[in-house]
Formats: sequence, C-alpha cells, structure tokens
Amino acid sequence: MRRDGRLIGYGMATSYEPCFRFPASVKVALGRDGKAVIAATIAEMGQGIITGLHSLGVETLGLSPSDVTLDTSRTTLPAGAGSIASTGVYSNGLSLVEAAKTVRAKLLAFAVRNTASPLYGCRSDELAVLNGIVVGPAEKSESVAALMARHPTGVISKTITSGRDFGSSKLKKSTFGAIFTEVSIDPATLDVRIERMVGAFDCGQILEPTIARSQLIGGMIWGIGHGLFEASHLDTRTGRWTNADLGEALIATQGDVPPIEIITVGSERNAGDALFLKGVSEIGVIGPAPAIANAIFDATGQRLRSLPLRIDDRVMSDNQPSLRGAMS
Amino acid sequence: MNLELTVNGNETSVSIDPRLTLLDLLREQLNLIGAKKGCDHGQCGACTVIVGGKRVLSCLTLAATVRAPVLTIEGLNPIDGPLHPMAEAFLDHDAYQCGYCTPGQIMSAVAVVAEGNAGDSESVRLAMSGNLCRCAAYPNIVEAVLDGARRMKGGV
Repeated sequence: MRRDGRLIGYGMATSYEPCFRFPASVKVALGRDGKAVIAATIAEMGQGIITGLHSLGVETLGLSPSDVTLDTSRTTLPAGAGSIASTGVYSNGLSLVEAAKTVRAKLLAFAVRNTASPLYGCRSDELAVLNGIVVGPAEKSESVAALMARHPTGVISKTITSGRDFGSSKLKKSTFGAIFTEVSIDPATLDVRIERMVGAFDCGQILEPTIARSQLIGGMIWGIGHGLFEASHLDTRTGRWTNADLGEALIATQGDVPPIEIITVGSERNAGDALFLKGVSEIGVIGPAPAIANAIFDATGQRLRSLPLRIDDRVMSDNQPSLRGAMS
Repeated sequence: MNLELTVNGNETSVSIDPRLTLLDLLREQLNLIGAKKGCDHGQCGACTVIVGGKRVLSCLTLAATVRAPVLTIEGLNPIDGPLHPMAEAFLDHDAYQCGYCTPGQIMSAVAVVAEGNAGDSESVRLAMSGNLCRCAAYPNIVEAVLDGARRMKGGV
C-alpha cells in the first residue's frame, strides 16, 4: 500500500505486565482543626502518585480536598512503598485506605458517644462524612472540625503496614494492553515515520483519568524509542559508552511522535481486593516496539528481529522495498 | 569583566568571568534557577531563554556576548503576578510530568508563537523538537502550545 510515494504498513501487538505489590506503612492523622495529614515516605517523580493518594484519602475520609495534605519527604516518616514497577499508588493506597477507614470509624464512634454532639446517641452506621461534615439521620450534623475540637486528645491517628506478603494470592493480577500503529516508509531511504498509534489498556479502576492518560502516552512514546532509537553502545576496547550523552543516546523527540489515542477499559472486580487498582505507567512501554516491527513487515516484507529497528538493519535486510517496488 | 544587561526588565550590572555562559550567569549569579542545566551542551533545550525576542540555548551562549534584553521563565511568570497564558495552557493540558524540561518548553513555546510556527500541530511538532521531554508529554505539549497561542492572541 502506498500514500504520497511512501509505503504504508499497519501493525499491532499485545502487552501484559503482572501486578506486584510492595510492603507499605502509611499513617493517617486527623487533627483538632478537622484536617488530616497522610504521612509516608513516597517518591513523587512526576507520575502523579501524590494526586492519586490524596484523592484516595479525601474519598475515604470524607473531608474536603483542601483539608487533606500529604507529608512525604522526611526519612522519619513511616516507610511507604517505592515508586517502582507501576506499584506505587496500589501498594501505598491499600495501607492508606485501611488507615483512613480506621480513623473515620474512630471519628464516628466518638461522635455518637460525645454528649455535646448533635449526633450523640445515633448509631455510627447511620452516619456519613461528606465534605468535612458528619451527617446523621433527621438532618442532624456537625462539622469534623467542631467534633475534633472537643476530642480529649485532639488527634485520631492510625498507622497501617500492609503488603508484607508482597501481594501473593491465588488470583494472579495483571494489566493488559493492545497497541495498534500505522507507519510510513520511504522506499528509497527506508526512513520510518510513525503516523499514528492507538493503545487500549486494562489497568483496572482508573483513579485520575488525566494523569493515567498522560502516563500511558508517555509510556507508548518510550515504546517508540525502544522500537526505533534507544540503545547503549559499548566500546569493548575501552569499556566506555560511546553514546553517553543526549545528542547520541537517541530518544524520541517531539518530531518523532505521532498523534496517540488512549483507550482505557475497566475490568472485573476481583473478590477480596480492597482497591481495584492495577499499575498504569509501564504497561504503555511494552507493546509499541513489536507493533512497529509488525507494521514495517506489513509495509516492506522485512522481518527484523532485533531492537532497535535501526536503519542499517533495514538496509541490510533481504527484502528491499525499492527492489520490490521496481519489480512490481 | 563588567557586563550590563537587562534581565526580565531589570537592568543589572555584573562582574563576570568572560568564559561564563548565560545559563551559569542566570543560575549562579542572578539566582534565576528556572532555566535548567540538562546537558550543558545544547542537546536538550532545558536551558532555553528568550534573548531579544529570539529563543536561545543559554548553555551555549557566552554571557559576555549578550546585548539584548533577556527573558526567563521567572520574567514570564512573576511570583506576584498572574500566570502567562502559555503557562496556563501547559497546566490545563497536563503538558508535563516531572516538570524539569517545562521552563525550557514554555520559553520555546512563547518564541514559537512569535515565530509564526504555532498554526498547526505539524509545525509545532517540528518547531518544538529541540526541547526533549523524557517523561514524553509531547502530545500534551503540542495541545498546550496550540491552545496557548490562541490565548496569547499574537502578543507575548
């Protein structure tokens, strides 16, 4: 197939990444001012873990977003799980939600026992916390801050450590994806351009759609680099890397990146899973390289077997599209 | 040597080593640390600033050669002032992840608008190719630049 003199090829590949879980300690403390602090050593590298955990905390505690803060960057804090292998939000989130649920339950238990509270005498299972207000039956309500102001110690806190079994379970959990791509190739120079890419992923429940989309796009672009550019070249005589700078260790630049469409689908909720989250980030990286290799095969008949799919491999391959073009 | 130059509207007189780059002058002597030293040899674009209306790689520019006014990310977005429309567009389109390349991306984007290269996504992709983003927020950056150009309505 040709368009504007360039060979067009389509390719797809599937991707799969098992979900891991790492041990994480997270402390949730509700103070006298009705504000909560979530404390754990958590590494935010730009992937959005702080935003994700913050929204989990807000949702579970029932406070307004501005009343929940994260304290993450001191070594004296409880040891959270690291930002590795697309596990950060999941591993830390499970401990966080359990701790936040305990704090919320203790707050409600205090509300129904405190004689000065309008909620005194209610059953705690009748109460809900909405946007910083504890709401009961018959329009009874009191703000969390007002309640906490009468709390004897002024603080309700809980530290939860979970995941010591590294998430071992009979139910194997994984993320899945399918990547589709269209490439165009100049039959004479064998220059490859990615024209567009679509990635569809099952990453479980998506906590923050904007961040998840950006993570998956970023992953797929790493996949383009994996497929076409990225390699470390060792000079075996000296033991030095010959391309150890950004000018020669090629990565995808703005001009290499096509329009990318991301589709996320939910998936069945597993029994016994408190948070139906799976990893997001790395699943995007896994499929593009084979999808591009398949698209090159579709366009030219060249079956390339090593990554990156470099120009010299394309030139040296048996099926030369310029020859085939001349013959057909 | 003594150098007089205008940075973000402020006239400054500094005593510099003639070998000093504009990037080191900004970061080390003027305490303007928005421009980043990613590679220090013109490959990544993280140090992009605007000199005399044109974007330059400040790591490859000798400070002693600078005569025209310098605009950095701090000048574009004064701490007490409103965000520049281009910075707003970057926020709205989630056009960054770790944020390290972002000051350079935004300075480049503002210059790309002035160059007349922000009309469609293909021109933006080519014109912004000198700014690497390892988090690969590239498609969001294109959307932000196109939107930022609309918000700027031709001005800076």
